[in-house]
Amino acid sequence: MLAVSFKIFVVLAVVFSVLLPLALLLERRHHAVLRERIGSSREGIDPDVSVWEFLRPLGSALWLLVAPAPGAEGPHRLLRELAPSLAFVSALLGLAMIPFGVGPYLFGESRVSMIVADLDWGILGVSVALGFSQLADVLASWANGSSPARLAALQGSLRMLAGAVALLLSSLGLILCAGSLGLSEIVSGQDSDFRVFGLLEVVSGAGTLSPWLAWLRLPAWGVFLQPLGFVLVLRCAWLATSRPGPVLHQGARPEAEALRSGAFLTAAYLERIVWASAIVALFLGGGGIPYIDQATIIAFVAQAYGEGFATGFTMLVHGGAFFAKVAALVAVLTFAHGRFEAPAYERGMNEVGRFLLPLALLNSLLTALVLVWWDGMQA
Amino acid sequence: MIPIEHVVVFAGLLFVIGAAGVIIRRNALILLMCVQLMMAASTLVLVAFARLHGEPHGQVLAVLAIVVMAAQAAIGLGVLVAFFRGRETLDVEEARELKW
Amino acid sequence: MTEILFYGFAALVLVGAIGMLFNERNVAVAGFSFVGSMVAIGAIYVLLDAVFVAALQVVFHAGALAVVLALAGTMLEPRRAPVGSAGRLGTSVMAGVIALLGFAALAQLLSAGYPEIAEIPEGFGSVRSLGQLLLSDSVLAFEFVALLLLSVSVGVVVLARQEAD
Repeated sequence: MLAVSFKIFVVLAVVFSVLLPLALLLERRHHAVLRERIGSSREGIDPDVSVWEFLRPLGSALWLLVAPAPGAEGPHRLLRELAPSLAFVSALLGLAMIPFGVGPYLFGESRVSMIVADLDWGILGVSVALGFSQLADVLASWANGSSPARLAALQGSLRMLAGAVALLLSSLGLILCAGSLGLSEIVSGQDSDFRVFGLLEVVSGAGTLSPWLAWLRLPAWGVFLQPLGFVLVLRCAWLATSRPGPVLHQGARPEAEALRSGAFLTAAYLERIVWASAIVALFLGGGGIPYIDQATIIAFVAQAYGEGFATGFTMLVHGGAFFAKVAALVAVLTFAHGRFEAPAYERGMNEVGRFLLPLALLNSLLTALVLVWWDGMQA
Repeated sequence: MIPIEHVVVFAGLLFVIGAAGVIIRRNALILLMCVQLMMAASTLVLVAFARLHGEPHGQVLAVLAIVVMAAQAAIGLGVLVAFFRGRETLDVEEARELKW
Repeated sequence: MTEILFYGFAALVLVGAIGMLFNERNVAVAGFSFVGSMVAIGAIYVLLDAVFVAALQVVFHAGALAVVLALAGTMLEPRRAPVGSAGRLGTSVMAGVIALLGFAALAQLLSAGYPEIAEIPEGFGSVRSLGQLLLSDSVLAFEFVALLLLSVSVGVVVLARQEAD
């Protein structure tokens, strides 16, 4: 119980004090520059980040907790009050099923894993949490009785749902490679590397190819095993996470309750972070360091400082690597949203249905055929 | 461990609530949910007996039942939307004609 | 502990189901109490060592069905909400009698008693064990469900398509 609480605390602390502020900062400061939409305060536009900037979302969240709600009316008051927390809860549930490190870390007898809820169907859970996360907007706008916001929320919800389904189908090939639905198993399976020409040797049956090619190795990450799946998932993430703008005051009346509106926007950025974490865990090796696997780091550090310290150090390194990768991916998503206009709702859904899903199915079919054939070769 | 008898009785109660809903309610959406409730009750019994005998076969059946439930909900809602489009109501009492 | 949790979740399920039944005017509220009771049933599955079934239950009901219900409940606002059960007293009485008979039969069955609750092996109810059974012992049912899903996806498209006239 204590360990789980500690993990939850660490995850919340990192997400709310580093990742979320980073996403907001990228959006607020750099988008303006990127889209040449510099406001009246041209002088302060340079990205000179003060430390206090990072604490601002935390302060806003605290204020949201204690601020008195403006007089709510209407028959669906409860739904309206609950909706922002529903948005946060479903995004955080997705985050809870994603491992922030690599494999189990052994401290003597006890096994420690850097995941809040280690489930053997983790990827299913992440996909559902993502699909569910936009429902809060539908609820809030419906409870408020505002039709345009409801239409926007419905479209956003359906887009997120389609994206989540496409995420699951696009990573089907990867699931086949890893042989597990559990994210911790998928991640620890990626903590190694493989020879690029190993496949060719087995196919040709010629034994080892020229030894000077043996140094050419790649990390066994999903992105190298399933390049098509990675591209598809990235595209899904871009389509599913719309750029939350001031137009979509999803269900909150911004003039009366800017904070509630802000909660929905913050939840939207949190969804982007969950998408990035899922992609990192699935395709970018989680917290793994390329070419240096967990055992190597532990053995190397343990020479000087002992086993326990080495394991703890490795956990820190892996966690740092994970969050660095997630931050990079969040930045990529944010910049992509800034640079390219997201397609309109119908076009986006058309793309998912007619392009991404068939390609994902084809990818998984091909992967299954190759795997069956590979098993036949090995036997 | 939970006494399996209690689970079975509870599932029976749930089934009866669902069946009662199907009989007394006229809103098609509520009807659909009541049918789902009845199916969930029977799935609960499957899972309970799987636990009683320590055999996972019951759970496999429960998985299949849940998938069937999803299919049923999809078709049910499709029918419902088509019905609503024709006459702007969800009252099953109004569904008296084959064509409109 | 497990018993207390079971009774708590069972009470939640019943509250949700009854809330669904008596919120006829307000379909969205009914839908959400239904989803709540379905999630509580998922919790009972966890207590019965069926973790993956619980996951699927929550996925389908809290995920898919909740979204669909939210969409339906907020989109389909009928001009007149169908309420009440006029002229159905006889049916209701009949249903009550049948339910009582059913419970009597259930009590008869239960009085025979069940065997001891079996010990469960490691990994009971995990994805792996269920998947292996699904593709070996229950493969016929699996194929039929696949067929069903195919026909459902075709059928829903046909049903939901706008008539081109």
